Amino acid sequence: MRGTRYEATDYVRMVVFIIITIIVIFPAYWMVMTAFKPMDEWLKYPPVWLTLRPTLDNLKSILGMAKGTIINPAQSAAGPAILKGLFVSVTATFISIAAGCMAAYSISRYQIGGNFLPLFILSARMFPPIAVILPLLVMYTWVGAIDSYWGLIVAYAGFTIPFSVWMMKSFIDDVPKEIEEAAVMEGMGNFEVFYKVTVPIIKTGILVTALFVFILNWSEFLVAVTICYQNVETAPIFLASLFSAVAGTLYGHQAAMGLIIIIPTVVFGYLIQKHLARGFTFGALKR
Amino acid sequence: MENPSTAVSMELTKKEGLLERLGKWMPLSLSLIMPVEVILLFLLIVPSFISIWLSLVSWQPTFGIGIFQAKFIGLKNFIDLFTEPRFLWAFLRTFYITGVTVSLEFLIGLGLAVLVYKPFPGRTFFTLILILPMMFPPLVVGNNFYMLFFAEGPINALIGYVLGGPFKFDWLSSPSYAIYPIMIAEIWQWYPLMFLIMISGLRGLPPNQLRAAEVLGGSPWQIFWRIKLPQLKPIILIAIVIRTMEIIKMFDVVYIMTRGGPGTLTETISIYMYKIGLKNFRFSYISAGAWIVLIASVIIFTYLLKPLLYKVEKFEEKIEEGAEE
Repeated sequence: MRGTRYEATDYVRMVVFIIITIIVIFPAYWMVMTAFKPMDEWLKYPPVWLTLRPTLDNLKSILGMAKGTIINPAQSAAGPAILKGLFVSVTATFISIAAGCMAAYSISRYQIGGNFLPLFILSARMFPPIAVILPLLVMYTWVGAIDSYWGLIVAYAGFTIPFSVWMMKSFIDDVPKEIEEAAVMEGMGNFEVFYKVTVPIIKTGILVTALFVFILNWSEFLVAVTICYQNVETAPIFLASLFSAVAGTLYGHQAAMGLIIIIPTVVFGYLIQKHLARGFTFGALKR
Repeated sequence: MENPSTAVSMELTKKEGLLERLGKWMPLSLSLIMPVEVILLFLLIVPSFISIWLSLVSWQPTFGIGIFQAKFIGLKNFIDLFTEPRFLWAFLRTFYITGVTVSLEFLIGLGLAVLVYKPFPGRTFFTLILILPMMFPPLVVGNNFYMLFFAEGPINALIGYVLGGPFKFDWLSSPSYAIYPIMIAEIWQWYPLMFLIMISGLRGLPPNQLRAAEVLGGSPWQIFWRIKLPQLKPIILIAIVIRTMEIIKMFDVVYIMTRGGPGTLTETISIYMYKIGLKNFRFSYISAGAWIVLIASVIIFTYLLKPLLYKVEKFEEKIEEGAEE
């Protein structure tokens, strides 16, 4: 909209939006500000709106880099939790995308399972996770998957499959069938058409879906907190453990951990910002 | 074009990979869907059967026996649940929270979408900033609002400035008010999704019809109520169904902010089931509860989803027609 002439009412709307933005951004601002506050300013009343003594102490002690300041004796540093969380999320995303992409192709091109199968896959998302978790825990004790990486990875892959199938299906639906038909005419086998023609065309879609699924996995808390005890940890679990340790007194550390957790989600979120609506509506909205 | 016989010979001489061999053994579509089927079998179907069995017996992991040696008690778990006020309240509370937050999110999202529909200075910038909250993990959102609403926190300080004196009120441990910070956190996080969906809905409306209405002298108000809103209906329905689906499962925010307290006054379904199932280990009781919730949500969603799927198709046809005109 270059060269648009704005009227006076447009400037009024701009002012309205400045006010709305300030209100909306405040909770996020408060977290960032608290993350950089020195300890004596966390609980002051009236609150310190803008700290004049910003410090990296909170981040350092969360990551276990500060000397002498222990978060609390029972607590380890966040480093392992973050790395383990990353490993689990990335692996689960990979599985979910690989399986989801193939299923989406099969559903989109061959209408496998008619109307029932896509809805059945979607229904996995409709159930409250806690309803699946109890029987899953029973099953996991049978196969020894409690507190194991593969157990959590399989659970994450399964819980995000509805998103990856439906989102990828919406990308594959956009590819004109004629291209694939032309490839078949050229003598390609059906599988070749899938991985040499369709997959390259939708590779942006695959990347977008992967980032979206990664965000979901990285933020997930309920499944992780029920399946994991000691061996496996994720970043959200570490954040929650800061609460149970010394209730309500570690604001700076909580905020610092929150800041670390949101970095990947906000970066990836803005990268795929145009497709967020598509993701959350399971591909129903394409713009 | 090649002649058919060379095509056939090429087919025969080509080296066969694993996938091709699989494709001959099973139809392509079936082998492609297999991985998802296996994962769903492992994570959805088998657990469902275990869950049905659990809900009909009396079993806890602390009993020290396998689930198949447990005593069969029929529907007793279900009957107990329906007579337990705590469960029923958690159930009702979840729907209350869902109703309030979804409608407020919808109104805020639609309002903002209408406001950004016409260009103004900095429109793209504001749109991008306003969708920030939905990129926060729910747990972090809970943490943020926990910090905002504690007795000496910034919210109380702001109220204090307005009232002209120090104001200290412990929102999260107040029996009658603890639920509102939770709702505010939920709305803060998810109005951006409604906003995004409504923007894409408004942009997808057929422009010719709107221009015609303008030329014929319709006021913006009339155009909004008579033309835009009715056409947005299917999209609004999608947005509401999807938000309802997610909010019914709400767990993280409540877990961080109140853990269902004070007492049991902010317990949602998920928090209740988590506490009873995983802290008190009453597995079969909660399995029965899970089935009640499942049946309730399936009933709600079959009523909402059926017209939805039909209407989405219609809507897309309409957009295509609009684009062709």
